[in-house]
Amino acid sequence: MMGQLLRNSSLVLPPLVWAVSLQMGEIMPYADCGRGSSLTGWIAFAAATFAALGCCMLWLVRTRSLNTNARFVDHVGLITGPVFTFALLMQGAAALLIDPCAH
Amino acid sequence: MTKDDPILTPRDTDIADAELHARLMRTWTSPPGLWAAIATVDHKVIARRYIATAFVFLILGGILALAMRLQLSRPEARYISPDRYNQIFTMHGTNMMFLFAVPVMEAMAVYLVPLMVGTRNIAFPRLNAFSYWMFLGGGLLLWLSFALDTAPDVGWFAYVPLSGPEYGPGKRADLWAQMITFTEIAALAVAVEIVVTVFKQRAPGMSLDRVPVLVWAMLVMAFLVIFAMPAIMFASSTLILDRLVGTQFYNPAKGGDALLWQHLFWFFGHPEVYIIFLPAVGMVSTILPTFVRRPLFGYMLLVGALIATGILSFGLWVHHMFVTGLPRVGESFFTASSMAIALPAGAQIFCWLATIWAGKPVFRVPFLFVLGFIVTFVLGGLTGVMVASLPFDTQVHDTYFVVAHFHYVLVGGAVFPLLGAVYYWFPKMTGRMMSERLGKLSFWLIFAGFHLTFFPMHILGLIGMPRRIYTYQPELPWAGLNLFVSLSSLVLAAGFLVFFIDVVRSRRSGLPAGRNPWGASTLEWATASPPPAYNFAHIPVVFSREPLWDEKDALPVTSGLRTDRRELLVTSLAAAIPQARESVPEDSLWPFFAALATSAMLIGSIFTPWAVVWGAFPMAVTLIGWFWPKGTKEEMS
Repeated sequence: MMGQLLRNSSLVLPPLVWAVSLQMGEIMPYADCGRGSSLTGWIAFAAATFAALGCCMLWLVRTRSLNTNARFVDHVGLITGPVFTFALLMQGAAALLIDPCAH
Repeated sequence: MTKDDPILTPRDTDIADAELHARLMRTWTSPPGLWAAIATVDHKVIARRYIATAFVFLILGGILALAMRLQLSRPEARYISPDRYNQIFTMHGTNMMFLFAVPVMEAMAVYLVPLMVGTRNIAFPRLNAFSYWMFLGGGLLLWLSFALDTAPDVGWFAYVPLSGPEYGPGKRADLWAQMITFTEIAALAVAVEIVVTVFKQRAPGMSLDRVPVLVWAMLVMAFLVIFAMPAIMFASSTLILDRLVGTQFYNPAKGGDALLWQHLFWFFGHPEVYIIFLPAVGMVSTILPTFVRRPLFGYMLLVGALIATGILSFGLWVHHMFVTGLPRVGESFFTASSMAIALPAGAQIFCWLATIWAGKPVFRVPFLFVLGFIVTFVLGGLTGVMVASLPFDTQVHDTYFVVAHFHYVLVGGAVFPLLGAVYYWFPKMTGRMMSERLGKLSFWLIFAGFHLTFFPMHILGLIGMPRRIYTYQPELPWAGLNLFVSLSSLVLAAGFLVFFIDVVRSRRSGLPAGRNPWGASTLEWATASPPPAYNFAHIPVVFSREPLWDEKDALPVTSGLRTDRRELLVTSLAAAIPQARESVPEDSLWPFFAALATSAMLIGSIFTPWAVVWGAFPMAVTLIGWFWPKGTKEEMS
């Protein structure tokens, strides 16, 4: 039961944190500009860390049973997860390089 | 005992093939006549209508494109009036996106998905019929307005405030907005049908890892439709509200937001590119193995790439809004996602190249179109990565570079595979082969005509020619290339003409195709060409991804379905284990009447908000007729 929960969480974690970070990228630059902070970038890096953790967790808890369906779903998750992690790393890097007040 | 008693009911067990065929034909075939034709719920009939109608819209949109090229062929031309030109480019874009590209891809899904998953009809077949009539209504509305010289003139994305009440007098923008509602209702209906068909009607044994790539692609496309299209329906409805009843959704002076329109439109608009492209990925992935005589390389990678592309497509929309003054940091997030989507796209291309590399290619017409797709789409993808970069996009925004880029992506990414798919599945749909000679001529004319027409547009854009301009001065350095592009577009048009001649000629007198003329591996080739009304006499059982290659002697089948009523097998989501026998709705005129009532309400609401109130009554009557209880129950296995 716990393994199943972990597997499902690991599957949805990378796209979920990517979607959250994308929204934050639209909202946070206004706050960053006002306060001189760079929260947008750190949120993206935190999301990238979560996405990478999701991929690692899925690798660790992936099913080793003969159930081809479950293995298939795990493998698809392991293929898609790194793509979101990569996008998040690029977002974080961009946020650290660009002035939050620039329009 | 009742007539539903399992012992008394006639089933498909222990019956000779001829007798079974006769019984199933009696049960599944629609009677002859006009009303019966309107009432049919056979997915193949509806899909053929959808495809034929969409191709008629392609021809009309193509004629508009030629009219634009005539106008731009020389400086200061006056072949068309400026107002008509605005209508023409709006009609061309709107028609091609909403009346051709999306509907034709969904129509291919309506035809192929039930056959490829081994079932007898699509889920919710009456909704399917309703969807076609709504699509037709939307198309007629748009083209009638063009015939009456009152067509929309606000571009295919109808930006506010140009399309708002202040700058868009008359009913042109309302017609555009309501046409959107028609076509989106149709698209959403089909999307729901596809999802349910794939999830619950797959043949026994067709577990998730055995689902054909085309079916995966159509499933992801259907989810994109379900998540993306409500945004544009909300946008078009609120635009009409602004124009008709004085709401202020898009008026900044009254607390509205003009940029909200662009966010809503592109939240739908960018996934729409993938709504068109992903089915094409599925088509290519299905056609390729047949013509290189080996299974697809990297099945799992391709499925993963389809899903990743589908999700990422919702994080790209702001790259259409790079010059609207949003914070640069936010824009860079969308640049990152736009570049990240190149990863799954690249993975798909490498899977196809590896499949070709390891196979023994047979250069028939569908395969040529696949090769044409790979070349063209790679070029379009590369310019896509270029315009995903904010500084470059700022320079070429609203120039012909962007026109060239999206035609490379949309025509290269969708039309080439679609034409290949028509050549590939035409024998299944009609029982006749298309001509190889005409097919090759058509391919080379389209391929050469396309690149000669659209590649120079990159250069035109880089030397500053803006989109949507009516004409240009002779001293600008654009005249020579524009004349070349216009002449090249005739070559492209000639290619399409040959294609349509081939379709008509082959439909009448093409060589008989037989059941599986290409020696393909997927289930649709297991039944006759064209398939009978009931698709499969017995529902097949699947043990591999290439059932027709792996089960050479005889395809294993199930039995036990009733023959005296329309019945199909419901299976479990992941492993496709049989769960129930479910009755399929009979033919009905109610979807047609419901579409008529909905059309009347939608068209009326362009003129008065009261049409929504009064129009609800006939709609309610038709829906009551449609959903009147039938008393047929689902039977558990």
